[in-house]
Amino acid sequence: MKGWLPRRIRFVKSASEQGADGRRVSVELLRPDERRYVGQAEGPDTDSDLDLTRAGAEAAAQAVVSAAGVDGTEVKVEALERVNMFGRDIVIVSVVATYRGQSFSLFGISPAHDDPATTGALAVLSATNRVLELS
Amino acid sequence: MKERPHHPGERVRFYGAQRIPLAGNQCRVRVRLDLPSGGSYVATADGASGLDHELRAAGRATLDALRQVVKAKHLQVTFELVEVSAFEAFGKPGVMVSIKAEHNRQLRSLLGFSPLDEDAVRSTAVAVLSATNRFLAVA
Repeated sequence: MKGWLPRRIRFVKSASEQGADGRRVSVELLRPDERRYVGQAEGPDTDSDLDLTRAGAEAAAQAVVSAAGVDGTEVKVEALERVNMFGRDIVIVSVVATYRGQSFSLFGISPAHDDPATTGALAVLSATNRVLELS
Repeated sequence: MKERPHHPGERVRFYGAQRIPLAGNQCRVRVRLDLPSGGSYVATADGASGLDHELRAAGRATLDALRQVVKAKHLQVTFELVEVSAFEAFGKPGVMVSIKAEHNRQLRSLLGFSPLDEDAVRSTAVAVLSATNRFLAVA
């Protein structure tokens, strides 16, 4: 997003591969200093968009914890829902984050992308960036 | 105008909101945003009474306050409120906003969400801030 106001962390990509027991989804985040953070999550052995969205969200949550760089940081995906609003599909995620000794109940949102895991990851980032000082 | 350095990570904070009934089934909403480094930004918007109208008025007022923040920080950013709507998420009411933002001649569509509690003006203001914060470095 060259030309836009700076962010401290960026979504780079998500990827999924078939594992022995299901789909393994990974999400990669990038800081301006080029440090990269990868989170992984196992999804059910289905091609369900919602399952892959959730796996992307959980992988992003893991990557966000690493990127936060503060001991004791936790990010847990509580619930995820897909709705149709304003004529498009949108994913909303409910997240509980613990950061610097405080717990926060957060909501994130992302328009649905072609890749469901990317949608889940972006929804988690929108939930956590303000509290985890990653925006 | 050259953009001045800003405070990365400094968050625009929601300070308060007020709904003021007016004559003729109208109401006024008032939203105040604060910056931790100093500065309060207040905006109002009028509209008809009723949830949908008040959500929209709250969205307009919040964006007007945010425009004051942007101006104070000398950021070349514009916002336009596209849609505001109440709906249900996770079995509870929520409010979603859609905003068009422009920076350096690039347009971007932003979405924000907040649970909708008894204070619908506050909920809408929080939804607007959640839409703009990741994009706006001072938010």
